[in-house]
Amino acid sequence: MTSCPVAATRSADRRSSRPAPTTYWSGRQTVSSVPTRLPSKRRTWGRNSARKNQHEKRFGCNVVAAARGVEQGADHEAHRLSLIAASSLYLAGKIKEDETVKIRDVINVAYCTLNRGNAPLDLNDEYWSMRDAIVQAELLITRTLGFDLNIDLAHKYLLHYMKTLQDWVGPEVWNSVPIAKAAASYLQDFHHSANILKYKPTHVAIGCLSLALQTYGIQVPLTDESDESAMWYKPLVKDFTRENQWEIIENVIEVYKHEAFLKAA
Amino acid sequence: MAHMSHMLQQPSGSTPSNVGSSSSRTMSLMEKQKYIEDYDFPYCDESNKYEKVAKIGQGTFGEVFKAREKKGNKKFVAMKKVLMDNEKEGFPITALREIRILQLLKHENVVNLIEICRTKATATNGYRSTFYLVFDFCEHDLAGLLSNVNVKFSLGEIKKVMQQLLNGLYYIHSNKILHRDMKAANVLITKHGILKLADFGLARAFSIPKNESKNRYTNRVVTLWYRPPELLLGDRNYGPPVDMWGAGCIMAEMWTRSPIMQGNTEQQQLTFISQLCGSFTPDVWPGVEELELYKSIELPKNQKRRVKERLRPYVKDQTGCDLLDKLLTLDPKKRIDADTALNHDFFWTDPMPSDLSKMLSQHLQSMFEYLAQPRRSNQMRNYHQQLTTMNQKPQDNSMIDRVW
Repeated sequence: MTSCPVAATRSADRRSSRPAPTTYWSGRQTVSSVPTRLPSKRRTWGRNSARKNQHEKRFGCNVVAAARGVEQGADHEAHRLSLIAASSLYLAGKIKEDETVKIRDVINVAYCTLNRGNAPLDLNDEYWSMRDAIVQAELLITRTLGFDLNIDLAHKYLLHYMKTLQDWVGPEVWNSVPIAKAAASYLQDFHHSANILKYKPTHVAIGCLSLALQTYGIQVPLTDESDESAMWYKPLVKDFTRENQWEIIENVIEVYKHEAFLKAA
Repeated sequence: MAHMSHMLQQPSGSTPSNVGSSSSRTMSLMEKQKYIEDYDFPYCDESNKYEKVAKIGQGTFGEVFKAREKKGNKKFVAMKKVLMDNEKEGFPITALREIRILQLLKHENVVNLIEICRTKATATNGYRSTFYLVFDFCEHDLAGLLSNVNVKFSLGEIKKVMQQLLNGLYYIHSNKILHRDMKAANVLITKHGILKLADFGLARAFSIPKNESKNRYTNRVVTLWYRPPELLLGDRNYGPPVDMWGAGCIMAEMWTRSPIMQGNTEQQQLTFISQLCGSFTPDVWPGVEELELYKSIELPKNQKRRVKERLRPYVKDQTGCDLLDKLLTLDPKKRIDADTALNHDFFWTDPMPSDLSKMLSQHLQSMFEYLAQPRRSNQMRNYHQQLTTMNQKPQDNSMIDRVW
């Protein structure tokens, strides 16, 4: 989903470490499977709680509620994905202890992404059904992931590898071209591709850094391009090979081809 | 069941190939219920793989059960139910925190989280799963052991307990985690004498603030009797020393057999601390005057520090008194850290720390008899019951239900 890349990225990241199901959020079964709840047990909020409760009876028992509430009969697949994306964003906020990511903000972002130009939702039935759907989808995501929510991102590795290389190539060369910026951009953009899930975070970091070095034609001193064992990344990541390098670079470049395609469309 | 009929109209599809097409959007109620019931989460097992044996804890954090694996090696586990009270916010952030921290911490002296389990969503639970944190089972907790007069710790055994406790703290602090609920009831001990820090329900990651910036953590943590002076004075920029204070309180308790400062209110707790550790002055604690509550709270003046003096009758061992003195230091910046404490003479002079398993194996029988007796430590219970207001964490169950 290009409409909500951040959320998609975050939840996708963590799947990289396990032999994960590959299509679990693309099918209807994922979304419709979230357990329902008994409305009678629910708390009520505000004055028109009776109406809300009644409404929840209709919507609260299924995550697809959001899709239905937003645009009945339209592109359900997109809505399902956006719901999972919104829920992932919400969950990511909790995991990273980012107290600024409140559920209402998530709802506003998700709603306005799907409904360009609309004002944010009022606290109406649609809002509450969407909120309920996001909360339910969160339970679906956490269970699907077996609560393995510690996500090992490539960013910290990239940072440390760059710190090392900075001294290695020396400030003169390092400061002459924006390697750090380029590598960080490649990494950021690579998260738009599901292919990032195929690789270890350490490998992704080296791949992006490698592409940045090549972009600016920087040769790391005392390394030998022709000798695998003398490549600059060997001391940093032992299990990284030239094949990994080319594969990841190819995948990063693929993202930009996709961008061109989107622009043309 | 009126609401269920609406599910019929929910878009659900029947095969992945025609997702989104209108023909796929009906599923009979029965089909749907069955579908939900049978939905499989391959990475999150069902809790019925374990068989509940007994309830062993109860509090605002939820219920804890002793359970046994049905298949495999039939080992015992402890299952902690996740309270889903604020369902409008989804899965509780506190539970997520606890889970992530426990997944990160793998150490002999930290309780081991095996997995998270869920119940099947069925009609009886309104199609809502319950979640459990599943831990390796530990036979005892320190509060339970200390409240049993038949359990006697030798000096070497006390050293072993403290050494393991500090080892655990050293490990979690090195991993940038604060426990924030140190107390005897949260220190588990297996029948083999291995100590495990438990209950990370209040734990959080911490960072060392850079330059002028300050952390703003909540100071409404730690059970009152084990709460350090800086938290009581409203400090929000605290760190590992908060756990070290608790370690000091627990260490003293190894000899006194009951918590050393049992305040009923925060004010009273501060008074008890002053009476033991001396008055809070900028002299002994530079910067104390800047803490939020320093001026607004009435603090005893001209109190002498009497830590060693008052604890010596119980502790007797001189190096032990010295370590206690360093743990119960008012100024968190001067309070001893886990690493330094582990190097203290207390652990490196005769009698050396000695294995607990022998002593515990002697008491295995009596411990189980003990469980069958009517509740003891009523006195403790009364103390606990008075303390209902100051903390989210319950203090009631520690002595009673956690004893095996």
